[in-house]
Amino acid sequence: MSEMDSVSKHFTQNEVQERLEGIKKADVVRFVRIYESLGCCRRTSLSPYDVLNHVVADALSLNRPWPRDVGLIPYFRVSGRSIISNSEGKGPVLILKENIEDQAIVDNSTSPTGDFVASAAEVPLEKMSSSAFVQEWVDRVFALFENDEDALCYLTGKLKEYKKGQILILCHFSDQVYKNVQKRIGDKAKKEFPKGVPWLEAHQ
Amino acid sequence: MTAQFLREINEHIIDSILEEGDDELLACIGHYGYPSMDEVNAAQAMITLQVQEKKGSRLAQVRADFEAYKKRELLASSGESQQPVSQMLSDIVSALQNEEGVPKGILVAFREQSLVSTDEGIKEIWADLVELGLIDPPKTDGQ
Repeated sequence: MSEMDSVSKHFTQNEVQERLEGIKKADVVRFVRIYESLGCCRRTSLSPYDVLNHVVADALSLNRPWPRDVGLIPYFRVSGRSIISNSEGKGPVLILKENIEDQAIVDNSTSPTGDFVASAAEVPLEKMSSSAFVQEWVDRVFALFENDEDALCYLTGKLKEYKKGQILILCHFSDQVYKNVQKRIGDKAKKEFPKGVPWLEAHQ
Repeated sequence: MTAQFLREINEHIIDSILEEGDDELLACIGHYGYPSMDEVNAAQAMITLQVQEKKGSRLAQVRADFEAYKKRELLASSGESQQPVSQMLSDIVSALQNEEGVPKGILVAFREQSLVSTDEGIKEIWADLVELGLIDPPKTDGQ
């Protein structure tokens, strides 16, 4: 990709600076909460603030090009997720590898185009948290929705790794009900587990 | 596989976080699961610092480029463009052999720099020595 193509697709350094200068306190809270929910502290040796600084540094250096059609919050969400994923294995607490990355803003060292790309690469789990630990948290999630039939059906489908179409049939959901159930689960789980659900056991 | 299930729950939690308005988030600062105001301020200050440092280094680079441009323009107007490279090379050799007239540090620096063998490199060294007064620039027409 030529330099001109890159400029037309991605923000320039000045434009990136302007966007970073526009970050509000509420945005900082959002980013910190997102990185904690992604499990940065358990999966890597990075704090959410380390991840935040890393995202800012990568944006400023243009190492992680910022596509023009990607907003501030999605950029910080996807970049932070990518940094956490890439940092796995470098920290003392890491025992599990990322297995699904919905989307990734990749750095120039790994992508010649620096595009906002979807990556479906699935890396097998190397080591697992103890099954008792994971099961305990699965049980806690289910317990949260013990009186919500639709949510329980959705969660059961997800646990069986059903795709959306299969869950729609299994639970007799319309698209709208499916979205409503997802939102209800997110809202309630956020309230009950403000730092997210740990799926990786912390090891000292 | 159940770890993946838990990760999907976290994605739903993140979607829910992203639906919170600014006022709602600010009201939760300091609550369990949320950063403190000190932490938020420190993070925001760090972002500002990183941006300012980047701006500073870019400004320094622009200034350096401008100074180099000014020097090229100045030398072009003082006859550099009319000076053949072979003559420039001869001037450089003479200047660097003048150990009495040149401070030792400068001499060493220019000897290292003179390992550059391209025409552009020679012109640059010649221009630097002219600027330091170690080479007399040729007089242009009318001077």
